[in-house]
Amino acid sequence: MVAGTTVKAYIHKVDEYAVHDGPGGRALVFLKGCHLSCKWCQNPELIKPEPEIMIIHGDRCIFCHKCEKVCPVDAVRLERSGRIDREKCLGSSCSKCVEACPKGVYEVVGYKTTPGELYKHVAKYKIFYNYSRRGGVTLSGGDPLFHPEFSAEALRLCQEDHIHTAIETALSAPYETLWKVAEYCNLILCDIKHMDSKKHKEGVGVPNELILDNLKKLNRDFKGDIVVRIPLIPGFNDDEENIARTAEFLNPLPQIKGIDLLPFNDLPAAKYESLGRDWVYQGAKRQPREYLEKLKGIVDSYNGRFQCTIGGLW
Amino acid sequence: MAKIQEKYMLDPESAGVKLDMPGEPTSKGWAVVTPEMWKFRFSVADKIQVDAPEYFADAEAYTDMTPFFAMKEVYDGNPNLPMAILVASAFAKCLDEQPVKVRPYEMVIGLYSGDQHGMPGDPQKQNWQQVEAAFKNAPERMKYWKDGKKVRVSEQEIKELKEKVGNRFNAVMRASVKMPELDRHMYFCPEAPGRYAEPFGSVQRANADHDWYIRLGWRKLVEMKREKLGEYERELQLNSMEDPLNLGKTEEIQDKINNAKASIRVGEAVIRWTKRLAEEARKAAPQMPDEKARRIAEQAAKNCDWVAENAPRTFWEAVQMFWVSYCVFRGLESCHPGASKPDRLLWEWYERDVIKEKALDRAAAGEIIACWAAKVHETAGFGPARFGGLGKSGQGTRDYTVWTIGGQDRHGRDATNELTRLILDVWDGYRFHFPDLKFRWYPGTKRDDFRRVLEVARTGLGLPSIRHDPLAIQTLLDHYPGELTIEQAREWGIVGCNTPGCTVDSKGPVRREAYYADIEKALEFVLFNGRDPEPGFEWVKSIETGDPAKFKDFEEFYQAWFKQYEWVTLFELKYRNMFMEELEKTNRMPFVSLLYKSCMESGLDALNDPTIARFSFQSIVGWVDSIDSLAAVKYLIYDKKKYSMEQLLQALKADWKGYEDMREDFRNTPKFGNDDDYADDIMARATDDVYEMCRTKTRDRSGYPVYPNQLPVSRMFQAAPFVGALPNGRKRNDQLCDGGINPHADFDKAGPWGRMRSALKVDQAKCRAYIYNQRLDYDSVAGEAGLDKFMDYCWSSLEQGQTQMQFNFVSSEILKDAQKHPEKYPYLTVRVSGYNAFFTGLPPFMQEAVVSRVEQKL
Repeated sequence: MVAGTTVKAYIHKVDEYAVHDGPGGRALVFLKGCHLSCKWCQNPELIKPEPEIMIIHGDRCIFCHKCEKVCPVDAVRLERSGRIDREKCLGSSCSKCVEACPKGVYEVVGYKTTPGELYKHVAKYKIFYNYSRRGGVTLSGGDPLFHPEFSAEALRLCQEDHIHTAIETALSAPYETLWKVAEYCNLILCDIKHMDSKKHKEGVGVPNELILDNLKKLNRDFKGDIVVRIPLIPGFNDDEENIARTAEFLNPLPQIKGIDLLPFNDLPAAKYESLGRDWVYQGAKRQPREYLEKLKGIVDSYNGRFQCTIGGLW
Repeated sequence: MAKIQEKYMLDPESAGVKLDMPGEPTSKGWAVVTPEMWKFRFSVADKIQVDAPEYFADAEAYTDMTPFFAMKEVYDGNPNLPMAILVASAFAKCLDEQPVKVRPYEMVIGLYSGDQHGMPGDPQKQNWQQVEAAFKNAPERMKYWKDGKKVRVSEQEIKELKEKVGNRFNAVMRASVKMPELDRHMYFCPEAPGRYAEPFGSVQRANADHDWYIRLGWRKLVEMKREKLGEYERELQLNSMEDPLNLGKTEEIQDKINNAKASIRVGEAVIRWTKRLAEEARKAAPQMPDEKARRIAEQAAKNCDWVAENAPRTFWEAVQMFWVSYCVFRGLESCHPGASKPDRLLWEWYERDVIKEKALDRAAAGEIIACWAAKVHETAGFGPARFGGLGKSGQGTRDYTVWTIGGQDRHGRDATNELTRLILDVWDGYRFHFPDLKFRWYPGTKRDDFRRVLEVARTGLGLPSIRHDPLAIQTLLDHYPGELTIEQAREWGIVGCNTPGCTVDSKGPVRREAYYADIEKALEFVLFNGRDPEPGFEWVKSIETGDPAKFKDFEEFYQAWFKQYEWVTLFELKYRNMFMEELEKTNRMPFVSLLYKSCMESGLDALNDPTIARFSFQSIVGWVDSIDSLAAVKYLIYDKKKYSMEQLLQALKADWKGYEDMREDFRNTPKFGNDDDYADDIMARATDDVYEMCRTKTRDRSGYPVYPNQLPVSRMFQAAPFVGALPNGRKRNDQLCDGGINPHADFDKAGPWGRMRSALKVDQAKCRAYIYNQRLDYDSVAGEAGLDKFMDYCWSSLEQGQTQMQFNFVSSEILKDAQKHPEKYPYLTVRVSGYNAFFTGLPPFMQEAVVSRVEQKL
């Protein structure tokens, strides 16, 4: 069997020259599918593992109503907010509206690929990873752990070709699954959303025990750097107590090199609308600078043990 | 704030000048800024130029016609003077009569017009059509100096100048009468100047032996010429005895005698002028507003006293002497650009004063450089060309002056030194976006130095732009076999606005050997069988390559296009060579001839000296558009057969009007610069073919092939109305591609890596030079990590053979304007969420989000 052709997964796209997702020149791969369903997810179009129809360029619409006419289940209505009745919609296997639109208003998000194909794609840019010897590929999503075989194989192929590898993950999978992927990583970026399990479940749909346990085990087994990222969600986890508890938890874990405090932003609001979903953070604001500094102070109080940033190291 | 004031001499926030850039100066830059020089730098005449005179940033800017009048008066006084002496006498007259003034904190003194607003014209080399057009378009901006006063040129005077100066001494006018009628019409095309070729004229070059004469001083140079003159006169005497029949040698020797006398005359005038500068500075000193200004004026006077005759002893004197030289060759002799490699030229003095003897501190040396740069900034200007034919070229700049820094020295070692670093700090701190800086990168460049270069560019200046040093050297050696040694090739600098050439050992070009074939017309010629499809231009004819509708396949189309391409190229070459020949035969440059060691030895004028290399090139506009159009024709007409050639011709004739869907299809074909082999292969092939054609069929006056430069430098704006609709989906007047190896902004869909991969598929050593434009959002390179990434990107690309790179950064004001007028910003790149995207291609909601985020400013 040829390496990298066994498993398939849906990916949304590969971004070149990604800036915030690891060191050096980086390609960022967006996989579809996630174990969690955070209400603030920045990439809600990537939560479901299968392709979805998204309204990418609503502004281009010339109201020719072709999409309405071709829809076999009558799910498209231009005057409706969100346009597509997602309950009725047959999804990407139909895609009639996408094809009918002369202006490219709709797009199917997600295409099937193999680890081998993905490796070939990112290896094209090898010249841009090489100078610093730090640049490379980051698998993100969704969550690369949602497709462990696919991710592991893609990362293995990259490492074999001396490309630096990283993943961005929520760590929400059995440890064996996690390790299968982590084994082929040089760097792991992972989220801790809340230290209180009950609250955690409220926010993202699952409790936090597995995640925290995974992080401890990863600290034991993983030889590369781990950076923990905390998305600061207003009223959910951005209180001082939660940050202090998180730092306290991470302090004894030597592999955890950095903590990034990610201020809230409402960039995805429009994405939610175009997917026909509710954005529950309407009107919520980015935390003020002074407050962010205060939170950073809490992390820094651990003798500078963590490289703490507001907004991320990269 | 108090902290900043303690550390730096100037508080950034209270400096009081609005900066239109996303980044702030770095602390390193601020560390060399002094309040006095900051004020001086922003007080100089700012000749940012746009095409309409009423929008000229310097309300008092004018074309200084004094050199024309001087020439006329000298001629009226003695109509029998040889050309060299006539020119030298006119220069001497200009220098002797020019009003001189010294301003507070002016560390380097002298201007090349009677005031800082003038842009002198050149009676010998200016295209007269431009002079007349400039007068017609903006008569109030054409002036000259008479008895110490600025007066407007009258219509009568223009006529007289044409008759007495133009017809007699202007190379362009003299040559143009020899052209066949149709060719002349096409070449000058008064209906639309620049439509088929950019008419010859305007500035020459002065890449003289700056490192040689600056170590001699004016008096010594004049003495050397005197000695030579004695030799020639004895030779002439001897020759008339030996050759009573005068079999030709007399004329040659007489020419040398005239040249020597002319150079002596202008040399003496320069000495007198420099002494006058000293005198004026001394007179002005007591009136200066403060102690520092008074000290500066006194020292400037002493410097001028000394360098009027002697070689400089200090860094400050060296800059003053070079500035005097610049004023004459740039102002009177109309030569561009100036300091080709300042970090090498002045290193000896800088090292002694600042590093070894510590007689001058770094910030003070920075002030001298800043004053110098500010004066280049204020004196630069296009002269008559600005209002007389440049059109939309060169919008928003003063002219194309460039300083080249960094790179390898003669022996292949790193030439980047402390002075290079200071120049970077000065540009950063004082916020110069002009003159342009080009940094020569090679694998031995220290990483810290390169990082600093990018850091300065990132502050929003966008400069220095980066040049690939080893490839430029290799290209010079390959394109001019036998002309240069490797040591000389390593001493390259930018000799035009973007073209590398040697600048030492009398190899630096003095003639402006730039050929401007408008190759985008070749596409129209192939589509319309040698005709220009625009109404009113039915008289235009190239060659017939057949009815394109009858072409069997793309290969036939490509071959026909290539024939037209060759025709357009050779048409321009033929006539530019003719003008060059006329210029060399009849015109003289006595001052620049004093600056070349080889002229000192040969006695020839710099225009005739065969040692001086040409480094000729063609500057091409519309190259990427041509490739995209070829790809579109291949894709839709021959491969997919979706449209017929007849349909395409109809759509093009209609400027795509009524063919909107079809246009959309043509716009959506594979385009160069998107990492798509379909179009990239055509680019690679055409590059090879053009190289081969130029190698075998084109020759400059030295017999070297004339290779193309893929650098539109802004001529794409001028050319936009001259070319009709193209198969790439472009309409008439739409902008042409702004670079030579980057995708057209409208079709720039891949990210930075994809477009770079496309560029790297082309053998870039086959061109003399390229422009690779990239616009980045400031946020994507912000912080240390951002700089790391930026550095990785550049270094990797250069290692792979990218010959040139230049960057732009975006401010939130621009983003807001782009929302209101998206059509103006098709290429604006911004960070969205972990990736870069084209701003106007984003859905409005995301644009809004990005704008508000940028405003937050972490």
